[in-house]
Amino acid sequence: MTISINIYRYNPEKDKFPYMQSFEFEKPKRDIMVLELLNQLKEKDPTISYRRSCREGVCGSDGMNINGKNGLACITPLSSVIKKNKLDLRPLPGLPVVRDLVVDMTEFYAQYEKIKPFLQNDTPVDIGERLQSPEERDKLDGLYECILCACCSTSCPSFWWNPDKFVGPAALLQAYRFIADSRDTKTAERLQSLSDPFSVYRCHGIMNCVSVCPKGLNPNEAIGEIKSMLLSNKKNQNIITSDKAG
Amino acid sequence: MNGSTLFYLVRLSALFVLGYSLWILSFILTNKPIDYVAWVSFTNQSLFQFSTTFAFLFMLIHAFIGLWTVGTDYFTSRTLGFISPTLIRYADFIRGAYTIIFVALGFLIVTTTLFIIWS
Repeated sequence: MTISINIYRYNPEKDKFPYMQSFEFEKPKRDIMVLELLNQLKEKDPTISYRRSCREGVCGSDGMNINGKNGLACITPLSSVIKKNKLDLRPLPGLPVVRDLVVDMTEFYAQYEKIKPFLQNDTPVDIGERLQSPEERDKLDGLYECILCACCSTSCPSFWWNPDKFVGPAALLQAYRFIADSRDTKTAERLQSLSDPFSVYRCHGIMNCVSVCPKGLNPNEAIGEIKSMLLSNKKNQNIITSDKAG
Repeated sequence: MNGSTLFYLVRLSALFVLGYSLWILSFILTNKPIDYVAWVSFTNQSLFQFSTTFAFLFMLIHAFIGLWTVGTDYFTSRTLGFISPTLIRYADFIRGAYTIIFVALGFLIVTTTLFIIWS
């Protein structure tokens, strides 16, 4: 039995417009991952372009749109996505296409840079490292695991329309990862930088980010926490900051 | 404007309009059949005039924030560029015209309503 694979093709050096190219592929006897399917197709047609690296869902390189839903090709079994013996592979939506399934991630990384994804603490370190209680460390679970594959941000319409102003679910998850970190003392500044009408408030909670995250994370919950903190009064924000400093 | 302010304005205006609508509905449901005299005495009271004024002003604010959000999502050079590259250069003009039209329409509706209520 064969399956029909349609791949988005676009080479800006020779194609005026993108197009879908069909391949007939012998259905494998054992289940394989979508990335393995692409690797086998690439042996037939070496011009097919896509990113991949670790092939085990850690590096986040091979994020793509698989039969209409964003995901990582390396950890998506063919059997779980194939419909009526057809499979459509497209690049992550909303970002400029460099070639075939490779997208330009500049806007995505610019938003990540904007949230200052590093620990900020100007207070002196007493004993060589900043300590956390197990309870404080627990607050970071579900936040730090993000691999920046961009599956969530590129499934979000708000990010499609305003990728230069709306921070997007991936970067907002990371923003909250540092806001929730007991060792970071710049909570007020971090919240202030997100207080405009676009950065956080363009999230309308449609939860595409949650349904596509290959790591099972919940950016929508983190965004909700940021909104709650922004909406609470200044006094509460000061208490949070002084708690951390203390 | 601050995002939190817009967030609160949208929700507070929605709550006020909801309360106003329920109040009008309760009057209609509890005064059957409504004759001309009952209706006139209801609409001539100051409470009705002030609450209707505030309800329409809040509707104006609510609609403005919502439509501004729609405009800055869909009438930008990026979004219009998906339809046609030619539209990119007209995006600011299209968004400006769209904003002027809905603001003018909103003010027309509110002004007409206030004129009817207070004249």
